[in-house]
Amino acid sequence: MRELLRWLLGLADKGSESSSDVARRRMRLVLIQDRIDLSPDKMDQMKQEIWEVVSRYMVVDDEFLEFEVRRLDELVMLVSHIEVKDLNALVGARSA
Amino acid sequence: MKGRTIVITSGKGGVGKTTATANLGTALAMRGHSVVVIDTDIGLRNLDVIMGLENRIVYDLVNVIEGKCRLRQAMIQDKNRLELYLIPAAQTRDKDSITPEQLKALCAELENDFDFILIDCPAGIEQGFKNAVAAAGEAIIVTTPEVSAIRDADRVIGLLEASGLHRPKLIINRIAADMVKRGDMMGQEDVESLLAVEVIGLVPADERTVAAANRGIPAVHDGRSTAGAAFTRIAARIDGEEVPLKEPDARPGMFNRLRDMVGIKGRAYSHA
Repeated sequence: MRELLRWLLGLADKGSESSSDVARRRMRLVLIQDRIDLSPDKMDQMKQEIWEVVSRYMVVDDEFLEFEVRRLDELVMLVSHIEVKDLNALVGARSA
Repeated sequence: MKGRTIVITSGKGGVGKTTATANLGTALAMRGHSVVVIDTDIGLRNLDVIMGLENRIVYDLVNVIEGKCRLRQAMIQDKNRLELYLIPAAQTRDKDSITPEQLKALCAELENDFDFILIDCPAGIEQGFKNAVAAAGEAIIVTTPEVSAIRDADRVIGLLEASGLHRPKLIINRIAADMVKRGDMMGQEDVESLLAVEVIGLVPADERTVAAANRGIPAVHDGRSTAGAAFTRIAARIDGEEVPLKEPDARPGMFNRLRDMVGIKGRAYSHA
């Protein structure tokens, strides 16, 4: 009886997402996250290299460098926060 | 002769590795090849019962490796006298009883005399997995169309790549075509695109495999088993024959639909 009900309900909401669609969407994101698989050492190394590149162009704090892999809806993002220091030096650089 | 050593692995337990190993080994032997299947799940052996050879075990894999017996003494011949032999796992030891190098040496020796050596890998990614993978030249991943199995399969594919086993092949096991049809199970394309490896076989959910396990006779011997037929086709593909992939059919017929609606139980989609 339950199957019959479910079948009838299934006819009623054909527009909604099937469970296999949900599974596929979830798996795609989970697998990306799993595959990134950076060891803490590699993560530190990447952090250091990014800091070096950014500091060639502006004065940035070497302590305040946050780094995380974050999920936002359909996206997997690498987010970093770098504090720009010494605003005067920066302004000075521009006017020079 | 230079045989091929293939590891059958999955990451997650209970997706059908042992059943796949027994069926592929049997099917390859039925094609006229000489085959050895090795159970490397030390402490939790099962390939012997699936093949119906549990009463014939005298020596096991650890005995061979420790030199307690000769290799041939630990090889149990198939009941149907095919050129098919089982080396059972030890039941009272643990995975650390053997090293990757030892298993590798054993398989190298077998490759001189046999066409195929199939390694039934334990679940997980610890020592038992490392042993099994080190000895193999090729890998077959078994998964079911479920999120947990697929995630673990993806991890295993990464680990295989890292240990130099490239281009593993994928068996998608226990596909319930009627569920795929109504959108409650991921289908071949879904799984294939997620894992990005070549699919070598699609095995339907088939309750006859449970009966086959009960009897200790692999489903490839059962002419009415759809899973058995699928494994026979996979064996042909492993053997280099070009056989098209066959998508499992949704259960046809009014009776089954009625039965589904009324909710009579009698389908077994989950078994080891």
